[in-house]
Amino acid sequence: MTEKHQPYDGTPVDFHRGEDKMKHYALPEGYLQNMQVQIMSNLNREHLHTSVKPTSWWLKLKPSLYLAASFIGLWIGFKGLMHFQNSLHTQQDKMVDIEDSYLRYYEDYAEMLLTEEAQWAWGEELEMM
Amino acid sequence: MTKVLITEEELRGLLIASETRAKGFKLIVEMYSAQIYWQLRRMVYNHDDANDLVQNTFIKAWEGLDNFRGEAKVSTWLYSIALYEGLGHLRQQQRKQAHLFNSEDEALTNYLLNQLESDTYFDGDEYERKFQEALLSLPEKQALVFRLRYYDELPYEEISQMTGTSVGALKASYHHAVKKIEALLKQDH
Repeated sequence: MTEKHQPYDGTPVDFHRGEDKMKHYALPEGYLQNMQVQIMSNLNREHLHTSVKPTSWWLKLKPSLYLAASFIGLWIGFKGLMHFQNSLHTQQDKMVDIEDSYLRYYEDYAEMLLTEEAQWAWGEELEMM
Repeated sequence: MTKVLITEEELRGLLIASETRAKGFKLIVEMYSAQIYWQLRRMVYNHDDANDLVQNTFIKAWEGLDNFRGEAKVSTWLYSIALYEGLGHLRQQQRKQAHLFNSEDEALTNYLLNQLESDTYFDGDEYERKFQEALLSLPEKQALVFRLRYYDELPYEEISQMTGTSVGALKASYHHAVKKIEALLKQDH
């Protein structure tokens, strides 16, 4: 099928011109419009969504808030540790007190037994005298 | 091509600034996606492949925006990306088909003619088939210059930016391509 037109730009007469060049090629219905939507949706999914998200005040403040929260967390942790250490010391002190009074009790008891024994022994001797 | 009232300079500005980049990119999709699609369709002779390649072209364009300095026209920049995307696809197919033919060129020509014949969206016109056969008989660079000049009607200066070939050499290449196609078509008459 040869089209007879005036040649232009060195193109031979039996070549198609203008829109006729692609007249044997078709497209699915509404393809070009859908293609644009598809391109943008692929880009949104893979790139635009993460790259050009508008920065709200929350996004700007988020790093500072995270930093502040970390410091507060560390401070609470430190205070908790100190409290735990203090209570451990108090318990140890109490245990030392208990041990002391236990020892004192036995010392007293031992002393009492010795006194009773002495009194008993000396008592007999005194009675014999 | 969608008509958008924006100058080349404004468009480049939108694409370069990070805060307007997405808006600028949406515009270039509206303005140039159809042209890019047809450029690729003429290279690969098949609607489905052209559709995949046009998607890849725009993804690569987005990824390459950081390197876009606006030295070339936006359309030339996009055409170049599409051109290399299309050539990459053809190289792949050529390698896959090479073992079936005597040479890689023959393999590619046969592959593309089969693609054309089997494309649901080609009407099977005999003259057009012969025209494409003649076009595919050209050396690759001549065929490339012919397509960009004949179908896309790009100025030689733009083709020169895309291919890195001088305007004089491109003119000579196009002239030889036209003569060869013409001669091959006359042989068949």
